[in-house]
Amino acid sequence: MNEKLVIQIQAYLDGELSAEARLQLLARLEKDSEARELCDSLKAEQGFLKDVGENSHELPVAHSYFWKAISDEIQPHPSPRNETRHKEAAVAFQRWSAWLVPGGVIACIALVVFQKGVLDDVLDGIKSTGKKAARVAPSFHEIDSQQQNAGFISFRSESEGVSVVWISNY
Amino acid sequence: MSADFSFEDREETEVVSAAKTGDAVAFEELVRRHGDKIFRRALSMMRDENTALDMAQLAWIKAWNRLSQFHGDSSFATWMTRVTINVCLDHIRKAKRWKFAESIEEMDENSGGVERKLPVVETNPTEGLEREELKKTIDRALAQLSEGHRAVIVMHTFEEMAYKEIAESMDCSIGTVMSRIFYARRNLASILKRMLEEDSQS
Repeated sequence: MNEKLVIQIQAYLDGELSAEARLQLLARLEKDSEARELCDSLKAEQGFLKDVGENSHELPVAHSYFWKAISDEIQPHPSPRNETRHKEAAVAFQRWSAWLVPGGVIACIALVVFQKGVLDDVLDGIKSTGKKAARVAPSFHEIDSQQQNAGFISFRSESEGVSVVWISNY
Repeated sequence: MSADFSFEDREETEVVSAAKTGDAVAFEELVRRHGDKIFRRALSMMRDENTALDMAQLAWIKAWNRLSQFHGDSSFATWMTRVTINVCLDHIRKAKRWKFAESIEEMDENSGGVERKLPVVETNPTEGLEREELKKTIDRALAQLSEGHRAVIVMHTFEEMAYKEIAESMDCSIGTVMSRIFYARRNLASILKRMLEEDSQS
């Protein structure tokens, strides 16, 4: 029998033929007894497989074991490799931060020295404009830090000729 | 939220919705409900228990990552089965293990014609067997099919997938699917007949 016809019959049984092709095939089946027999045979085979169904198989492992492998993938725990990376990053940060405090202190001192110079210049200016009499020079000045993030406060005692720098450690 | 929240008695749609929001407990419940079916489908495709186990787990992982693509057009079980079939087909493709004729023309060239290679089985070869025995016999016969033929039988007969859907999954034309289904059925019938003859002789 023509293979094309066999496959057409199969497609007809599977409900996959177009309306036109279906009508043509039905007309052929009416006339061709051999084609009709093959159609019945294929129909029986297909029905048989569907009716009997599949053998039942169950998971050969416990659900908890099966799920664990899935769970590890969808909710990954930190791998040893990642943990090592995190540790290395923490050590590098500690090394770097060890320089942060002394560096900050040096920067603060430099800032105070710079501000003292500016302050002296301002006071000199006041003296030279004759306004000194109108002002009572304080025995010391509290110089507010403009660098809030630097975390320091400095005091300057003109009478004592001493500067004190308070450095906050945060 | 979900740590002390059980989905055991929940409707499937609720469980799926929760899983789609990233709730792993809900997803575990889906695995619990459909684990056997998905494994069974993977086993019917791969025929090796360990490989089927790997494929089933991989399918669940893929499903978790693609849950947003599930819109409820079919049941979750159907969607999940499609995911499993595609995972298995990918595995087979990668292993380059397609061993069956790609078309009727190729089969004709190789064997000298359809009729000689695969005689039509006129009678029901499994007549007289009990249902459970029949299932086991079919199972053994399926195991003897090539992976390609087994795949189309599983997809078409057991999953009731349309030609077009099978063609998309197998990355081939509808014509090729039609010929594969035809040869797969013929082959299966021949194997069943042979097995039963051997059984009756022994």
